[in-house]
Amino acid sequence: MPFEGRQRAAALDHCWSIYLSLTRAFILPEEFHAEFPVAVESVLISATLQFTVPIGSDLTLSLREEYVFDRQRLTVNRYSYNLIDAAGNNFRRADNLPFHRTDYRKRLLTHPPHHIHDQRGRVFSFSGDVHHFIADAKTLLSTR
Amino acid sequence: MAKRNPPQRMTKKKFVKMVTSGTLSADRAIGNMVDELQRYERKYGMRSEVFYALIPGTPAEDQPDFLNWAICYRSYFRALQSKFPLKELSRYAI
Repeated sequence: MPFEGRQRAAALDHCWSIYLSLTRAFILPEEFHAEFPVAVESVLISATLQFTVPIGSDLTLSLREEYVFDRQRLTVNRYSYNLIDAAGNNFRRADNLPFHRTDYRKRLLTHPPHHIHDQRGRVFSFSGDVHHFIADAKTLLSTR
Repeated sequence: MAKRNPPQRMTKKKFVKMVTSGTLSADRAIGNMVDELQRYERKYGMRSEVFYALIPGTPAEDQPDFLNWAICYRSYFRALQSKFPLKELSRYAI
């Protein structure tokens, strides 16, 4: 197992917080409530959470997070958060790859290396917090 | 018209119980990752080992498929290591 004891508990707590954010923000398909715990089981095997869930008639949320333990603290080593439209295009995608320092207006990113790409490929600042991405997705969904 | 009730959110107790119930075996988790790796390999005509040696760590990684492929590849190794906790495998650890 990649995680033991307290590490497993920390991973479960983090995944639970994502579940709470999602269920507070969206009305999700019933299957999701059964599928999400299986996705979290996979975290205990591979240290990676990955799932996709429809959040509206034409938007799908796809989240992938890779975890490591820094001393006793769970950290997200690499992530990819995606909002995908009905045509399969990335409407929004956030990641922490270290290849951007500025946004599309050449202003420094507020929380590098975290950033968001929009559907036109423009780079914007992003906090790196999955809960903020979910909140933004909710706002986007309500304005469509 | 009857209002549709949203599905009920599970409790944390139920969530922990479901996660720790052992529904997903390491074999199935590894199988799922192999399927995903093979999808990328077919799509880009490149073996995962070659992809991983060439793309991650370069700006080319900043593309959804490549980022997910790299994460999936590392996850696959971690899952293998959890199934076969052999020192031999540590040579291939990323």
